[in-house]
Amino acid sequence: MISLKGITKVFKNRFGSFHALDNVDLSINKGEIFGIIGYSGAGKSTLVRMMNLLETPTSGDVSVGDTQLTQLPQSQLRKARRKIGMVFQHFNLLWSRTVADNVALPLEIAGVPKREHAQRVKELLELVGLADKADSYPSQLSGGQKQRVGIARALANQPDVLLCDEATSALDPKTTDSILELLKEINRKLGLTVVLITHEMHVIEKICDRVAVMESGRVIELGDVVDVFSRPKTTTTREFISQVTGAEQLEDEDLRQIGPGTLLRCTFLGESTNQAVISHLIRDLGVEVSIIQGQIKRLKEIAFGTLYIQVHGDLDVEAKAVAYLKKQGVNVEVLQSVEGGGAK
Amino acid sequence: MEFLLTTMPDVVKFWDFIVKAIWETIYMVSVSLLFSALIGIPLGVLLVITSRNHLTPMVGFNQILGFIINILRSIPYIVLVIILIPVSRKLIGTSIGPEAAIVSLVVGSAPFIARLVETAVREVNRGVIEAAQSMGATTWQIIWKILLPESLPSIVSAVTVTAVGLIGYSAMAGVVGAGGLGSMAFTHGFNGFKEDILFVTTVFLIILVQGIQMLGDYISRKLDHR
Repeated sequence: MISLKGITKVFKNRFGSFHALDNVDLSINKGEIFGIIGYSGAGKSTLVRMMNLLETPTSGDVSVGDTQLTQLPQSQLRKARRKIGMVFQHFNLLWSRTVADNVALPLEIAGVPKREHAQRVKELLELVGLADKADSYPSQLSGGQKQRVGIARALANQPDVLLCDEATSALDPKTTDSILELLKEINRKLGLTVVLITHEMHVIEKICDRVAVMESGRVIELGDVVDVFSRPKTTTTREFISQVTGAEQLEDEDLRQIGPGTLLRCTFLGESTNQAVISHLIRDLGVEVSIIQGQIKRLKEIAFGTLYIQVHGDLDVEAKAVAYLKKQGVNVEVLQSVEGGGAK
Repeated sequence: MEFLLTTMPDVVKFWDFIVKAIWETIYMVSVSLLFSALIGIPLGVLLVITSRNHLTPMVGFNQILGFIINILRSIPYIVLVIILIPVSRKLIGTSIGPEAAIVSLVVGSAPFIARLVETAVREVNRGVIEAAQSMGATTWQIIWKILLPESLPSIVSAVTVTAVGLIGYSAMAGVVGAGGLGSMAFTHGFNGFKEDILFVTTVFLIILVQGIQMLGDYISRKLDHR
């Protein structure tokens, strides 16, 4: 649906030049919810703004649907943009217009006959659950309601793509969830492709199908959300995961307090987590296990997480336990072996 | 009446002139305000959108326009009235009377409105402009649907400030025989040693200024949904 090829963006100022995007290739499928996560300055905002050419690339090609945006003259580009809705972090509503008139703005711009506006606006406000606020002004709404208006407005011209530029970053956690639910619902109901950028892992895990992790203007990891976050390859990705799992590394201090004995870090992915692996381990091998720390999260129907466990017994028991867990599909790492020291 | 005759004999004597002067002031101020706004508002918008990093950057044009506006704003109004005598003769066929004054009033206050409108329009949130661009709006649509409506309360305030300023300027337009309250206060009241006329005309000017300011503030507040 959206394809970015070799996108580079260089910002120049009098101090020199800065590569906001460095040769990014990205392809987003029709109908998916695609998340782009990164810290501020990673280039994710520039990247999403490439997708409707609010930001023009220094080099590279941008295509949305069958149209190569980078080849279009201005007037054609404006027409193409009508089919690409955009939602903003700070909503960007016109305070001079009522909610209904804000939603009608894209219709006016596209030259939709005036008599069709009322009906369309009504449908859109019903879709986002704000039918009763049609005549209010944005200043009378809460943040979440404003973003709903922003979403209704972005959908006014029945776009194929919805770009969300930090759409939930200015909202509190509860409102964030309700906006994410709405985006998911829209994605399912209207079958439109959603691209969202965020610095919150929570947003990705909640609704995204695929994710790209960005750092210094590059995509450093890309794939299905579950794959990327169950087998993170980079520190950045790991840091984002710890935002939601809270599974921080055990400190040396903690290790000393635990005392001797086998200490294992088990990373669970997918089905194994559902099968009560730990209780099977205890029952089948007859070993004693203490859980030190850990958290299991459900990420889009699949559970994953990290568990620190201590197995009581000799070296033989340790080897057996490790082998058993590995057989069950658990990623096991020995942090401390039974003699002490171990492979930390 | 008896009281008025003893305290303000000249006001009673010249009452018809005072009424005429009120209308002359209102006429001069409203017509020149209308033309100043019609010229100044588009210039203000132009100053914003042609600046660097805005809708249609034209830095050279922008600097020249800014320079011309600065020159017009630097010339003292009293000088402007005299310089423009030949211009108003060409433009409207006469160099005296209220119409002649209107020419110089417009030339004097349109650049002022332009600068005030520039500030107002520049305040319009960049995010909102960007949102309109993401919808495929043309520059023209952005001006009409975003820039002007979103800065309207400030533009109304700008026009109000200019209207009050115009009342002051219109007094100086007495140089070209434009009439009006200010001119009457000066010629009959001050130079003619008729203190009661000086007093009454000034009171009317105060009422006019107060009225305009209150009306402007009211409209601006009504339009502001922030």
